[in-house]
Amino acid sequence: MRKGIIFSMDVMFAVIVAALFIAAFYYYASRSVDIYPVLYVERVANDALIVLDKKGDLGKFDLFVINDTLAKSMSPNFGWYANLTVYNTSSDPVAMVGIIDPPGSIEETSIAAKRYFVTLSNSSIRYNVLITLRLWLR
Amino acid sequence: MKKKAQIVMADLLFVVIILIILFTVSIAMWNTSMIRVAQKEELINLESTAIAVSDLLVKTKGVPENWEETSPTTIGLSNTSNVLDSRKLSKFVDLNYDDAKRLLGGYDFFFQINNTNDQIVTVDGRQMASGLQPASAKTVVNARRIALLGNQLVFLNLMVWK
Repeated sequence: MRKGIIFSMDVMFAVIVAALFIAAFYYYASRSVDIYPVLYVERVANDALIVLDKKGDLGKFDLFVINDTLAKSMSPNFGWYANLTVYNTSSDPVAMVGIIDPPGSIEETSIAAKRYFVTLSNSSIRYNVLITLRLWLR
Repeated sequence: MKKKAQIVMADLLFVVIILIILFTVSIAMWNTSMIRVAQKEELINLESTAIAVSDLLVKTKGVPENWEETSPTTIGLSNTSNVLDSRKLSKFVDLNYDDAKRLLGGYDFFFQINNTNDQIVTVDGRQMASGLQPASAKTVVNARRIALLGNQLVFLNLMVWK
């Protein structure tokens, strides 16, 4: 009788270990890390800044124009904000001149795309500007 | 002695039943996992293709660079990064579906250029849309890229599906 009980407990222990192993395998096999949203958002953020630049909106250095182009560029399923930091030629930041901030919170998995450009005055550089576009999927 | 043998048999029966249950559950879980892995792999392939092909279309001129006058080995639709070439677009839309599919990585696709009002852009009176709509597709991946056509803000929409 005693022998039988020891055998059963042994088997029970083995069964529990096997069940845990199978459950762990199932859990890890069904877990998935999808990197497509990150890659896609990164592409869209860079596209938006390239288009802003090539359309000439950055050179105009007008926040309303930049805001309008960005707003038209973004699908409703994107959250975003942009800011511009202006530097003078001594490379010290002069001021953050604007934040384009649509409603909604910033997700932790946002992507930041950056682009530098210059504004000209009488054919010489007046300001160095950094535009940062932060973008995430809602 | 006889009593002891009966206890062992009951014990054995119990263990066998548990093992059969465990084995059945394991097989079911294994099959489910394999199906999920295969579906995920298919999705990742489609996603990679959507990213790579949309990059190719929106950022490169194609090979040869004047492929719109000859025949392409690689498709690209832009003059410079994110600035589309209307001649290349027209030529691409005119391509035979099977040729275009081969050049775009071998997956079925649907392609169109939309303006900011979500209307299909026309070039020389021709709508810039090509490919097959995914009516009965199992998996569809959509990539929407921002570009310029002339000075007009447009969206290159590429759907790859299987």
